Amino acid sequence: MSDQDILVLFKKGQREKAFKKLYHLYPRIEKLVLSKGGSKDDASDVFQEALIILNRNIQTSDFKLTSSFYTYLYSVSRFVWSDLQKSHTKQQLQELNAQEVQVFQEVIEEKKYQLAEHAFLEIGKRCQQLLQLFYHQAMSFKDIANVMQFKSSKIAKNQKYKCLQKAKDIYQTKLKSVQS
Amino acid sequence: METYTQYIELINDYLNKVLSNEAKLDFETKLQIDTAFNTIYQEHIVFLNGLERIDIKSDIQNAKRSYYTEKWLKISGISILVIGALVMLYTLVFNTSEMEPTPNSDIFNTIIIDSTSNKKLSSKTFVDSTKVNEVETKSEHQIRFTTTTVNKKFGGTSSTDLEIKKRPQTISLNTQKGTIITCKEGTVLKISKGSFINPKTGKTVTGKVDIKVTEYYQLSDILLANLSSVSNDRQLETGGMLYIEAMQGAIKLELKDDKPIDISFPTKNKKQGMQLFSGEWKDENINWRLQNNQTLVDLEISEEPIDELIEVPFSVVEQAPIFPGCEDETTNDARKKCMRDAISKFVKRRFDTNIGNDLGLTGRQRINSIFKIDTEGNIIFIQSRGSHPRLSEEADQIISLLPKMIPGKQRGKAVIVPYSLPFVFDIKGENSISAKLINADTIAMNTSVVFDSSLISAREMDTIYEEKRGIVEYIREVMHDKDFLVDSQFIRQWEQYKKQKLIRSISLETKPNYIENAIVLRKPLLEMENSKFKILDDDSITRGGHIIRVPWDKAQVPSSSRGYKLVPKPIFQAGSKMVTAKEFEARLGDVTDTDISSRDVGNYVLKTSSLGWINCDRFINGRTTRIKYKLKIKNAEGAKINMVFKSLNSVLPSWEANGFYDFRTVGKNEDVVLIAIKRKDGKLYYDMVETKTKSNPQIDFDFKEVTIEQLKKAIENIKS
Repeated sequence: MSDQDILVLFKKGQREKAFKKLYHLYPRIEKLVLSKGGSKDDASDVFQEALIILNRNIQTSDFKLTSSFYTYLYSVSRFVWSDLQKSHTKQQLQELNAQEVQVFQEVIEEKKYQLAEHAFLEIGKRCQQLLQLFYHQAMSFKDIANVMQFKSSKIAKNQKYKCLQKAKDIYQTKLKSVQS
Repeated sequence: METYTQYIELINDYLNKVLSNEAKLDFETKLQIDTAFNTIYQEHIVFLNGLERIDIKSDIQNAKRSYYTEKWLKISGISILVIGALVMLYTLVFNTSEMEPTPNSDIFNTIIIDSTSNKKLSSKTFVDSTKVNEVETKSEHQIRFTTTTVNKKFGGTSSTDLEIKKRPQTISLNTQKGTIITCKEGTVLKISKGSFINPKTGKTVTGKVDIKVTEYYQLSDILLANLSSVSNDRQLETGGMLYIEAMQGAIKLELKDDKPIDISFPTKNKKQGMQLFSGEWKDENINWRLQNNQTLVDLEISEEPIDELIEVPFSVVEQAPIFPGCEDETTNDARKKCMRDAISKFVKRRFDTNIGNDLGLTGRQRINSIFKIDTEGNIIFIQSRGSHPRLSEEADQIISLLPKMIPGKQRGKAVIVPYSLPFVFDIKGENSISAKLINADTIAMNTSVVFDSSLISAREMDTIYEEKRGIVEYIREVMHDKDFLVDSQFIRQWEQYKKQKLIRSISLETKPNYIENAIVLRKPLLEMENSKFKILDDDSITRGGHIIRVPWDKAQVPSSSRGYKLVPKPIFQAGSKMVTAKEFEARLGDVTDTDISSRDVGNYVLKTSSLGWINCDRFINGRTTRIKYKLKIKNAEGAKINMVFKSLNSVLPSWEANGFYDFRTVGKNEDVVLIAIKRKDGKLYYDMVETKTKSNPQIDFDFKEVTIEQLKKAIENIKS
């Protein structure tokens, strides 16, 4: 299956199938991480992160595949790994070409989302469910109230804001601790 | 808070693109102007992206899983294909060998005990046995030329020095008539008409039958046939040994169960208490086992016709035997069904399934039982084969408890009805065992299969009739009551008492140096309510009130079941190799052949048959003090040494180990002759030493070279 076919799968919204195809590249990425002293689990995490970033890129309407998926995933994985190890030197960063800079920024950006994700995971099961129903499944508050047995849609709505607020508070504190 | 929720709502709407163009513009300007709003917007975007990660991650995980599953499936799929291809290839290449699954193999596995070992042996020795048959048919031709029924001497052609095997006499007879045969050395056989069955078909044989009889009265004959007179380590005095075989063409026949041959042994001075024994070869020596239900009578020779007893299988009999309680059924089929159900219920209720557990057996157990209902409605000829001897014994035991029935009839005449009762049960670790009885009709066919010796004929088999002795007989021996009622409940109690040490077996020195086995029955047994234990006249009572009792002799308690079993026939042995008679003869004279030992020469004479070895003997018991008798011979070089008694017709074998010849126990101060026979470099050597039995004997042999004829003569001279 060519890269274009995989891209078409992404555009058609068959994300899972596309990921499955891309997993054929995993053994090579794994080798990279292992060669840099990472474990198999690390490799799995790194590859997952690379796939997330790729997915985000493809979703932006102006995405064009300039090189092969492998090259792309390889460079993203490399950055993700070195970022995990906090091992970029200034010199390395200066030597980056334009494309690499973009990838690097994407990785940094993604780290923020990671924090948000972690924050979300800390807000408690019921809040998680509520927010997921609202944002992912685009349910109306009325339906949410039904599913989650709130007395009214109004209460569901209120609850949702509280949860959102809570998640954002956690995110802020996390962001501060990372930056300091 | 209020404004915040409003903002979020607005941002959501904006992101979902549900705002009007105007509102959208407003929103974008607000983003530019209102920094607080901008922060909230940015923050919300980050949050949404974070939230999205969870979604993406779960997709990735799913993809990963299905990727690995697919990969694994591919690998296993490929390996299955490869294996499949290999199997295909194998079947193609070895197609021919796979083409011949023996149709009997199934039966083989279920019915014949030790089927695997038999199979192995059979493939090895098959060729040999056919050769043996050829030899035998040849000698038969010779017999037909000599018209007398009693043959004085055979062939004459091969009366070489090494002809040590005693030739059998062959007598042709018509099975339609009862026949009385008087053999060369005086044995009289009375054979009733229709006594023989073809083991393959199970049918009564008609037409001409050849009977081969070998008589062993002369000491030399006995010694050279390597025979001895011992029954389970007890010395016997022999009144003559016989070896009888019946053939029709090349088919070896068997005796019908209910038509024994009457045998009269000639004797000059009659001795009391002679009984019939069946021989069984064990560790180079023959062991005689007492036949039960055999009372030896001086034959009243008369030729009155004996009523023919017919056997009709259960599945076809016109009027099936009736189980008590089934009388009310009107049709024959209903009676059969009633009987089958009754029997299976009877067995299921009594079969102690714990035995399987106790023996550590697991999985499916199968016992094949066969019995016959005789013309009086009694259960006879119980025979069971199970995966473990104890299971077979239990099956026999239960079947023997079946009630007396109304005999089956064929054309209005009472007939014997064989009944086959296979049972199968599972032992599943715990005690949950389900005994299942298979419909007897479907198995009835097997009745003939069990007797079908063709399955095992490749390795020639002997049928040895033997009494089966188990715990039932033992209890009766102890109770001094040959009709003592022993049911499974009592057996269980008995085992229980043994565990509680209420019953204990001990060795007792009844006379100096004479050890007997005895049983201690402790006092509580006698004091129990309804106790079946009573103090008998010849019991010794200890001070504590316990009983010491010497159990009855085995001969006094007939066994409740009698069966026959097939044992592999001894084939002449040259060293560790099995050879045919012909080959053995050839090799015996070969000086360079070192495989054949003295032991083999002694064994050589043996040719057992479906009728087996028969011995007319009596036990020699407690005549004198018993001592252990063991010789050390320096120059034995594998010689075979037997002890011959001057005063008795008795031969004791010895068991050799490391130059020691063990005769086990013998009477003290007996006049005996020790005969040693040795074969070395194709020649025979012997020596005999006259001595009195005493402890720690010192005897040396001076081996002299002899021919067979000389050896025979020398042995005969001992007695005169």
